[in-house]
Amino acid sequence: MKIIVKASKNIFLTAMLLILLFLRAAFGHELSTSDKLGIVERTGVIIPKDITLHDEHGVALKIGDIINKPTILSLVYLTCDHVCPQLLGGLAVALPGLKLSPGKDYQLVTVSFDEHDDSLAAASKKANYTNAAGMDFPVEAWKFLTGDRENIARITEAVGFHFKHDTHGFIHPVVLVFISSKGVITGYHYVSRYQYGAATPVSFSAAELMAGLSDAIHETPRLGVTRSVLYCFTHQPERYDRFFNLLAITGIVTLLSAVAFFFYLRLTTRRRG
Amino acid sequence: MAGLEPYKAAQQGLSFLHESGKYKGILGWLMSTDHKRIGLMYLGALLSFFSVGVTLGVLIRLSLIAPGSILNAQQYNEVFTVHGIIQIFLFIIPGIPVAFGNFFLPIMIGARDVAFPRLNRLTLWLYLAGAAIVLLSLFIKGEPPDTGWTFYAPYSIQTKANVSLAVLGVFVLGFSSIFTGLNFVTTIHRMRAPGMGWFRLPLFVWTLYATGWVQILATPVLAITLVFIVLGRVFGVGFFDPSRGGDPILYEHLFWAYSHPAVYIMVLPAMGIISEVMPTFARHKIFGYKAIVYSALGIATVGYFVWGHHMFTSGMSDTARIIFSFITFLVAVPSGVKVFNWVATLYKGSIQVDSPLLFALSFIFLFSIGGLTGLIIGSLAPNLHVHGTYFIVAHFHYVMFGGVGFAIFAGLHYWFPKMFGRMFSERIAKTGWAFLFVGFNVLYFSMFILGYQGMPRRYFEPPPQYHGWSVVSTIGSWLLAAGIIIIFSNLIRSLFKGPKAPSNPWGGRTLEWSISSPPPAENFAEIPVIGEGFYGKK
Repeated sequence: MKIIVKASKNIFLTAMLLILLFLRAAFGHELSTSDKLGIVERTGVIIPKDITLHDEHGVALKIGDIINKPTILSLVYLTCDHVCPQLLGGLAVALPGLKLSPGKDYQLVTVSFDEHDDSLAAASKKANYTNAAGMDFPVEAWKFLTGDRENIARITEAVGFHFKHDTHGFIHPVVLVFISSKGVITGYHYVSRYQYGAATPVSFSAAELMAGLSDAIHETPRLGVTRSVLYCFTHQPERYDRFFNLLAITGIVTLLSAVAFFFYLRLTTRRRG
Repeated sequence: MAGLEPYKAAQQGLSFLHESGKYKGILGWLMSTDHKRIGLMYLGALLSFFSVGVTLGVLIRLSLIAPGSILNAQQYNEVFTVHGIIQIFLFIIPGIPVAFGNFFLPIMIGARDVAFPRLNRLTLWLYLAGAAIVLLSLFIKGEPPDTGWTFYAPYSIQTKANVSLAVLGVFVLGFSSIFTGLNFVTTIHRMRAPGMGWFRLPLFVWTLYATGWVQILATPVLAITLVFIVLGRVFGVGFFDPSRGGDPILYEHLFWAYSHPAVYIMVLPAMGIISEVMPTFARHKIFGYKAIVYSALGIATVGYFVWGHHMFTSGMSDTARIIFSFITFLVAVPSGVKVFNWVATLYKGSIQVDSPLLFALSFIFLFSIGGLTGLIIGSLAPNLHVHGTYFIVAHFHYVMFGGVGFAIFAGLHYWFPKMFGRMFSERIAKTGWAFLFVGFNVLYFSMFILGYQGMPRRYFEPPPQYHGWSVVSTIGSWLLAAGIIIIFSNLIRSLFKGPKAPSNPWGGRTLEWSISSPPPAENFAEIPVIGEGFYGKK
């Protein structure tokens, strides 16, 4: 009987612990993405032409000189091993399906928002993704840019892209921005789905990209349909440690209970015979 | 042997099959707290689920030689998932402890019942409820689970199939397992007959003791993991979902932190059965009793620290992989000690080759192949080559079916006369064994070859170069199924028409052979006193 009472106590305590855990985890999501994290659409706004970024050779260029044709802008950090490579990979795979000529009708610009990324890393990424886009993809049609803190802040602010530094990387939205040849933001394409196990977990259809580029070519800003946007997270956010601690505590308590149970049985068993 | 004769006189009452207590008919069984009745009900349920699982397995093999003509791809996923869930969670994990453990543990230690008979009955009800929930997930609206028996996240969180219900079923089954462990550990501590010291315990009891602790300690990990899956599916809590900051690798860690020790929940009692059968049929004292006991405890302890070897390719630091690989090699040592001891028991014995011994010898042979191939895949470099191939499927079935399955058949034939009071036809049993043994090796050894050649597991349609061995494997499945049909028909027929069994048909030396077959309701009229020489040399 004692054991049953003890067991029901344990079940009650476990249930309480689970409820606390659930509350913590359910509302934790909002807490971490408070304030500015995410996208504030700036459709119709002209990107300041004097923002200075460095290309893959380390040459400083003004954004006004870079964006001289319809452009697909992506913002990533180059050391990311989560969604950023999937975003760029998905993009590279989709490009050969477009009926436009890269480098002539449109171009791609990828800007790293991590000030620690350098041109060397940018060159390596460029080689990787232009290669993935196909043998005949012109390398000059996809630029990988890096910059200092001030210029990164200016360009991300200009397109309404809000990210946050985290212990192991960055938390940021996964999005493509379409810009006209005059530097006007004409639209956003939100990535909202990550297909686990697929060859390209982040994928784009030719129609989606064509729609965005068409607006950029015709200089017609279009407001995006409000959709949930996918975030690139690090796999071990800070709070996760607490979850591990909780698991560790639960494990130790279980283990100690088992040890206590063993000694209880040993010490209270009457010897017969 | 010393100490058995005096109790025989007291064993002439009604058998437990006839004393049903205050309820009659089916309620007399369901409401019974008699450990033997509970054991038999478990046994009936287990073998029924096993038959369903085997049928699904044969269906999988059939589909693999003619993809698309029997099952479509989605149905194939569902069938192999259900095959896995039934065989693992409904048959082989509960398996030996709940059926043979329930029936024989109290008798073997000289007790009238387990420590908590009503808790024991509750475990049966939980088992049946859990099984019903799992089966419900197959038949209610929506699709049956299609995740594989491991419920890997994040797919298990996303799929539209009835995963929540199946997971709930497994959760309930887990509690049945925990309570059984608790009950057995307490029983072994508290209920031993006078004179039954720790080192006079039959080896089957020792393995149940080690298993009990694993059940108590490891199963809660599975329970909490499954709760997280359900929280993820129902409330969107992202413990294992990377898009919410969770980690799918964590799921794998938690799952295998239970599921690897669960391998020992299955295998340890199987080793216990073999340790009973070998000395009985060799007419020889078990070789190295204490070594077998310590190796059982060693396996139960070290078995907690090897789960990472399921995840060598999932993303883990090299240090972690080397440590997990090393401990995996370490856990093979106590298993090797046991194999050595069983073989040494035969040395200079007067061996009587009856069907239980044939199954036990097959266990040693097949389990050794399963164990040694386990070392191949426990090494880091070969693991990268054969991970996710049929090599793993073959290894797994050699350990689970070749090991535990054959031990269950050994136990079934060894204790059948005691449980039912009837003998079976030795000739048919041996024929069934031959079919099973040959079929088993044709079925699963071809999988080693397929896996070594690189055939991926879980594929609905294997690439054409693997077709030849695939056909061989499927033919093996027919032989194996024929063997099982022969074995079951023989036993079922013997239930009704078999000649009456004497109390000790094999010359066993543990307490269950000192009472009548089938045993009386409360086992012993007087609690036996165990003297020197118990479990000793014949």
